[in-house]
Amino acid sequence: MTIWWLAFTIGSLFAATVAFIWMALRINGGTGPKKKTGLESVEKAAEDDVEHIFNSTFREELRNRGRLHFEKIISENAMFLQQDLRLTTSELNGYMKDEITRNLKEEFAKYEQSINDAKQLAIDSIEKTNSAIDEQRQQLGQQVQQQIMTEKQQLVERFEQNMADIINHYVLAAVGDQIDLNDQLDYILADLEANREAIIEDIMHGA
Amino acid sequence: MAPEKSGLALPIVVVGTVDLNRLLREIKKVQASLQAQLLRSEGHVPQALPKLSQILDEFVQLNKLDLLQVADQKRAIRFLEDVRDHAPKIHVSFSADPSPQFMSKLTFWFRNNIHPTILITVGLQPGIGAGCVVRTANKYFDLSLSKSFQDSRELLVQQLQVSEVVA
Repeated sequence: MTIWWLAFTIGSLFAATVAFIWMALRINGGTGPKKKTGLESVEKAAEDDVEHIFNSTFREELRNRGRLHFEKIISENAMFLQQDLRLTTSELNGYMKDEITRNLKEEFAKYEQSINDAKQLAIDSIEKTNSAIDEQRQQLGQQVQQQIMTEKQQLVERFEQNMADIINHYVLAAVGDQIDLNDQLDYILADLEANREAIIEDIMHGA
Repeated sequence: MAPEKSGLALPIVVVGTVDLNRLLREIKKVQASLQAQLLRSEGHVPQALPKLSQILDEFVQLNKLDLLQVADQKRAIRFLEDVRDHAPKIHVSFSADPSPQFMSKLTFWFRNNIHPTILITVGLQPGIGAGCVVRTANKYFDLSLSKSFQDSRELLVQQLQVSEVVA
């Protein structure tokens, strides 16, 4: 829109200049060869009148008026041109500001998008790492728990297996010397009686 | 397997092979002594026996033998050799050395319930605590307190678990 105004203003100045030049040429180019006919006198009289009317003073006056008018037009057009230039400059500044702002916004948006993508990528990577660490920690915990349970079970089994020996050793150490064989006779005979058939069977049929 | 039926019996004091061999040696010694006396007396039968040990004395009294008679001597020797070679043998271990009275009762039980001429070898295993361990030709009978503890291990575990629950 501003460019069109500028072109219109320049065109108007050019048209005014052309019109002024054309008028100057018309005014200066009015004298030509005089016919030597009867009308020549008339023409001579008219010419004289014209010369009398449009004398040098009058022409100078016209030139001055034209000059002033031209200067006025030039001044007015210059003012319009200045206003248009200011308006154009203002609009151009606004346009440039808008364009720069828009470009900056787009660039900032792209930059923000890039940052967000990088951030999301980093978050995904961290989440994957955390997930892997959690999984590894869980597996490690399960292995440790299983190993503890296994060792505990082994300890319990070992204790249970050796418990009879431990108690036997303790009882023997505590009261083993106090038990007389004569006191054990009934117990021994009872055990022998319980195994009597097996003993007889082995003695009778053994090698 | 069993000695032939000669009508003789082993006294309770004869527990194992050692006692049997000692008895057999003594009878043979008595036999040799009597034979020597017979030879020295030019055909006169000896009228008195040399001094006998307690084992041989009990053996003679139990079986009502007259060792001055050669037939009884041979009968006794044949019986003892037959017992030595064919009688069933058993090994019994205790935690301490048994007294003679204890062995007499135990031998009496074995002779009455297992076999009349069974020979018992006594061993020593202090680790068994109480009871005994009987070993025959093919089997092993652990009648000790240690074995009893091992057999009662499940009961002990159950009692411990019950006490843990209560605690």
